[in-house]
Amino acid sequence: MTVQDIFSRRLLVPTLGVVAALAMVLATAPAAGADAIGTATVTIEQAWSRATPPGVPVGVGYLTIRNSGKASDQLIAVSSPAAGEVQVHQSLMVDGEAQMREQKTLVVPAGGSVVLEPGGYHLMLLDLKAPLVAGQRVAVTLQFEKAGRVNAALLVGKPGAPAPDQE
Amino acid sequence: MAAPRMSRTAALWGIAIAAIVAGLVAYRFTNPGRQALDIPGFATTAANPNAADISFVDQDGTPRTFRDYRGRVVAVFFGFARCPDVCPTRLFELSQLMEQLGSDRERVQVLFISLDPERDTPGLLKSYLAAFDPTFTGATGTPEQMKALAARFYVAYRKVPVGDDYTIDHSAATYLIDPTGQRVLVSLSDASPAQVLQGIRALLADS
Repeated sequence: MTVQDIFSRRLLVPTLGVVAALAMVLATAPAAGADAIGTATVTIEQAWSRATPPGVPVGVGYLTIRNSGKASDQLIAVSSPAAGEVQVHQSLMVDGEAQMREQKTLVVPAGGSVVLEPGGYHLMLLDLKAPLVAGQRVAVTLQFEKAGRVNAALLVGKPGAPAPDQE
Repeated sequence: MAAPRMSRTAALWGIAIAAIVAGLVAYRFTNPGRQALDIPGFATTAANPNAADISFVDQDGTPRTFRDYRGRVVAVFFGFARCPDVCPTRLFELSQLMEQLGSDRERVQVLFISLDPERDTPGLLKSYLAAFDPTFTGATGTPEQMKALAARFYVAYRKVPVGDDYTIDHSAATYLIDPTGQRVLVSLSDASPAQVLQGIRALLADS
């Protein structure tokens, strides 16, 4: 498609239509930023990670998933261009023993939220393509059963940081 | 005249003996001795006398035993470098504790014992631990050596498959060994960083 094509009568109307639709979506979408990225029903807040020491190709991701919809939704897959694979895990303390288990799905109740935080649910970024560096933002895409794909950016803090860096 | 003098001598002896006994009793209660340190969040155990001889290598590949750390309080934590959630949290807490210790930090050694020695080579542990605190020491070695170290601290661990990979379930206690290597404090479930700091300070003060 060339510039001439766009301005030809055949494409002008649909193109303007798409532009207008996009403008409306952008105008009604919540303020996009590190604190709130997402669709109308599922939003991601407080997305952060930890710097990885060299030689350790495994990273972590923490965030809060908020579901403002009237029906529950569930997280079914996560991906990131920074990692070969992203899984959802849960750290458990069972009789003084630290255990970690993969969660194939994570249900987010209607009008509720699920917090991924140290010592609980977390994203596990496997086969990192490069070490995660403090200050960097790592893109992740969360796939929900109903809300579809929701993008977020994990702000990387210090190794082992207990909470996200204040911006 | 002789009898009253005798009784006065006896009375003086009596007072002296009573004072000594009272002093000993007071000493016993104010210095409960090496067996009874009451630290919230911790239990005290006697160290296994054989533990001092279990060998491993540190993050520089230097052969070590626990004898090498005598004179310092050793804070021991078991884990593995590919653990992204629980282990970094603990190591970060320990790095903050070291800062709070100020000049006393020179009498404290953090020792991270790897339960994944196949992956956690000395070189990897060195860069891993340096990301938290350059004074942290790592312990790795043969699987048999790690098994012996874990058994000595009654640490249970096992590999659990995750996809094509594995994770390691392991006891999450923090252990504090006193500078003589005689006593070991074991954190009860989740000792808070404040309690770990209190334990370290108690062992430093009592040695």
